[in-house]
Amino acid sequence: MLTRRAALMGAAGVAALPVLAKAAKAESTTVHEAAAPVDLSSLQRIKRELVAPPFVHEHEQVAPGEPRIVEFEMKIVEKEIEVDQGAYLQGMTFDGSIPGPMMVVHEGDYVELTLINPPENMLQHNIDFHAATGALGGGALTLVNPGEKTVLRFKATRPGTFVYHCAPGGPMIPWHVASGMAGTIMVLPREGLSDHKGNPVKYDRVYYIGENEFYIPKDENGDYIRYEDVGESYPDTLEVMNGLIPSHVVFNGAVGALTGENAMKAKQGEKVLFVHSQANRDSRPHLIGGHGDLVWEAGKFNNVPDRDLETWFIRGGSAGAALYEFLQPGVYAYVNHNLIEAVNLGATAHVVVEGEWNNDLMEQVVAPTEYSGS
Amino acid sequence: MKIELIAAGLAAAIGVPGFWFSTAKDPAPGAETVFIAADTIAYRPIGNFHRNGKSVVPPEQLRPVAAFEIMKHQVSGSEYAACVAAGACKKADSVPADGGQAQTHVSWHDATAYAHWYSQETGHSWRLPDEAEWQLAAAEIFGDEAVETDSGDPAQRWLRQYDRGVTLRGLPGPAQDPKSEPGANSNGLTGLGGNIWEWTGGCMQNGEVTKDGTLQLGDPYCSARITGGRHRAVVIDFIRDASVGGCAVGLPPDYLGFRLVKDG
Repeated sequence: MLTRRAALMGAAGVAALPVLAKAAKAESTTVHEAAAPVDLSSLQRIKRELVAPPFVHEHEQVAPGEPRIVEFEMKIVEKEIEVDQGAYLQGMTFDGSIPGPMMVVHEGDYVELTLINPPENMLQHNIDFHAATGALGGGALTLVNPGEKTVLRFKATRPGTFVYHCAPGGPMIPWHVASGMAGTIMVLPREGLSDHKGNPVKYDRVYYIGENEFYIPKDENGDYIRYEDVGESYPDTLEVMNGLIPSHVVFNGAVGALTGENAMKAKQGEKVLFVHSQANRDSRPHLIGGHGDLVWEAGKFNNVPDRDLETWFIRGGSAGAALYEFLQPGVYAYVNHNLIEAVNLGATAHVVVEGEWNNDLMEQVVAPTEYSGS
Repeated sequence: MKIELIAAGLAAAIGVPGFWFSTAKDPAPGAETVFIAADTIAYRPIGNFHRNGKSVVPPEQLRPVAAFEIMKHQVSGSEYAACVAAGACKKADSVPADGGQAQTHVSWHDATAYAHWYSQETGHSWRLPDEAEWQLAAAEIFGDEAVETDSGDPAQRWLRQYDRGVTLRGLPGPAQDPKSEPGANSNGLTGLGGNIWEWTGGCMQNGEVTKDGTLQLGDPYCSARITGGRHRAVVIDFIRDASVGGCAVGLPPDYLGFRLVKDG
């Protein structure tokens, strides 16, 4: 069954099996040699150090000049992650974090990624950029076995927030994604973001919220099973995955990862861009007590943003962006407004906003006081 | 302030076996307890308090607490299992692998049922501590998350309280397995300061803070009980796992367990 499926996917996705993958690599070399060469030697290069989410590496909102080659390097790390108390995931990560770090470039820039699969890993991996054109988003050109690295360059031709994820073929695809291998790239318009009237908009901060759902198997007593390694976790995990009912729905890789000391921070009057990605399953972000002033629900900046949204929809396999100016101080909850997923399964983050209360927007007229009936 | 009484040991020291056997109900060896001497604490009720029509954090009150005896350890998995086996307690949602570890995943009702059963078993009267007793027994482990602000800005109260809760709690992130702190506090109670919050009999209060700062209490809301831990938390009484939180903001307890007070 597994082999048959792998073979079926292999027909569509060349990276399905090692043997096919090797063939694909050989073929790609040939194709590359035959294709017309491009000369990008005149372009300026800039190297960006990726940072762990919910933060985003330093970047300009308006492109400073001509298109550049933006270099990134990511190491794939297979590691166990405690998703919740006593619930351990045999995780697979881009650069050690779930979600994988966010990259930012401008439309027309070239993304040049060095992807490293260190020898201590067990599995082969690759990367499929939804922002890229051709070769399965780069997946067909980037399959790396443990102890290999590869460099992919693609041109960022469409502005927007886009998911990237691992897609090593067949049933490995959903498993790798459900194990954490997904991230986001934001391709900004060269002139920066624009509002519904086409006027330029800047953000004071950007937070990147990667949402994942996990499928951690339980034993006959209802306790989560902890596995020796990622391979051992596969058969049971596959069974839970195929039931489509996740054990956890979380932001930033674990229950409570963006709360308490790790809560997001902002100041009253600041415009905050929230980029929300979900590589596998639909979500519906909602900022409790706030709104989406300008929302690119599908994440693509050539479209006019929606205004004043209460909740926005993130299609599984996409990333969206919402801009909000905090008008009131306090502790905000940023949730997936399927509240069962938010509260019981984990999809809640907090935003701590400093400032001065505005009684015009809201005032407690009568505090809770005794009422004994009429 | 801290005189440890080992109930079983005391019985052996003063009891004549024949005397014990002659009582209607054999007192089983009771749990080890700690004597807490009477004292006065700075106590702050939790609940809905208002002044001039606005919600406020009530000021601390000096509150005398009478002497009492309280379990040295949290009720363990094997102790709770005995109540379940007797049909007097409901099976908990999770049982510690090591029966000597604290029983968690129990509601206020579960803890109360255990107190009833344990009282019958031992011939003594056991109950949950009230929140002032818990505070006195917890001593230096007690953390007050409430922050008084004199501004009329409701956000400052939430922000400071959130910040204080984070500080009291230490780092967030996925909680570890239920873990009673192995050491004892200055009163000799073990298990405090870890990630297990303990049920108390205390209820969510409401009332008015008058101009001179005194409290006028209304009827408490007892479907929400106060739990003691690194910071206090209000938890609905039938909840067994509050870790996911009862409301959108604020820091919930990791695990819920309990210990009992012996009245006599």
